This record gives sequence, C-alpha cells and structure tokens, in this order.
Amino acid sequence: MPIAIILQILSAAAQLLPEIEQVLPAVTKIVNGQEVSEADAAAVYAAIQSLEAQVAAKEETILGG
Amino acid sequence: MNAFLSFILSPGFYGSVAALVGAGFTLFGHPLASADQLTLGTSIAGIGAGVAGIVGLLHHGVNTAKMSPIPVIKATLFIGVGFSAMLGLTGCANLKDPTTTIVSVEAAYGVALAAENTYLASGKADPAVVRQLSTARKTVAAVLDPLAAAAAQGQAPSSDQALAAQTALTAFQAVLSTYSINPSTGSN
Repeated sequence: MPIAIILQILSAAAQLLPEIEQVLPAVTKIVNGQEVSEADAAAVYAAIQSLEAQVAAKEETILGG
Repeated sequence: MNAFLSFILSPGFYGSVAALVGAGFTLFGHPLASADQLTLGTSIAGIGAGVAGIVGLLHHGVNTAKMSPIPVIKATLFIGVGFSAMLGLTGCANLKDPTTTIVSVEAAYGVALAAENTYLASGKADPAVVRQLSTARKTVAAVLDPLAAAAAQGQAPSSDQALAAQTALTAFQAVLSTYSINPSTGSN
C-alpha cells in the first residue's frame, strides 16, 4: 500500500477530527508495519477511555439517562 | 446534469460503493483471500469512504454559501467509518501480532467514536439513531476494553479475542454507515 498516501489522508482527517491525532503515532507505526509497544498501547487506551466517557455522557443527555 | 454531478460527488455514492466493496471482502473474501488481498481490499474500501467524506465536505463547503450542518455531519461520519474500517480490518489481517491487532482495532474504534461524538454534538442527533449507536458502542466496549487494558499492561490477547473485537467494531461501523446513507431515517 502507498503508506505515505494513507498517512497524508489520515493527517488531513485529523484536521477535521482532532481525536484522530491522539492515536496517530500508534497508527503510523501500524501502517509502517512496525509492532506497537506497551507504551503505545497504553497511550491509545487512555485516549479511547477519555473519548468513550465523552460519548457516553452525550448519549445519556440525549436519551435522558 | 447538475443533479447527476451532485449524485456522483455525494458522500453517499462513494460511501455506498466503498461500503459494498468492504462488505464483500469482509463477508465473502475473508475465507478465500490471502491476508495481503484482504488488507488491500479493505484499505481501498476504507480510503474510498474516507476520501468520499472529504470530497463531500469540500463539495458542499465550496458550493454552498453557508455550510449546512447535515452534509458536514454526513461527511464526518464517512471519514470516521472509512478510516475506522481501514485501520481495524488492516490490523486484523495481521493476526500474527495480536497486540498490534488490538491497538489497530482500538484506533479504529477511536475514529468511529470521534465520528459519533461529532454527530452527538451537532444538535441534530435523532434519539432513535443514538439508541442504536449506544447499543453497538457498548457491545464493542464490553469486548474491547478488557483486551485493551490488558494490552496496555503488555498482555497479548488471543487471535480469537482480537477477531471478536473486530466483529463487534464492524457492527458499530455498520450503524454509523446506515445512518449516513439512509435518507429515510429522517435525520438526514
């Protein structure tokens, strides 16, 4: 795959979806065929937990608890 | 002619084509295709949907005097679903390293969550759609969160667990896609 193109498009998408930036370093490793480290996994996990909490709160507000 | 061009340039058109290609590979290609073929196919589908979102966003932004929120929401969902599918399935095609696979699925889940977050914050969210999204999201979280927590502590999941997480994520992506391409939901 043209990895540079994937990363360019992902970077463009990060302009529209800032949350993508949080997982971009690990994603960069993955599309480059490198194995991710424990630290990468921990960083992505923390970002996802934060995002999940934001989404859950908004869902609860819209659905009325 | 303008209507035809609008149709061709719409996120729904590219998104639908990309979703069909992705679904075809996922449903029928997996047992037959090699990991490389699966990666290529799903990457093309994901990039197609992602680019469709960006093209749609630019198209509506350039051609309308004021940005209507609905095309922006639809475009954002396509970007989210497209890249989410690409990352998740690409990672899943490389099950020889389950930790990398789980992080791929997590990253894909994050992109899908970002798309849902944008939709929920738009002020245009339909409670019926939100209910579907919430159910699908909680299913992903129930499967993926324990694996992700373990991976963050250096424990690798099994290939079966990684595949189960990817399957739940695909269902979540499908709900996002359904909302984006179905004009009968009332939300579009």
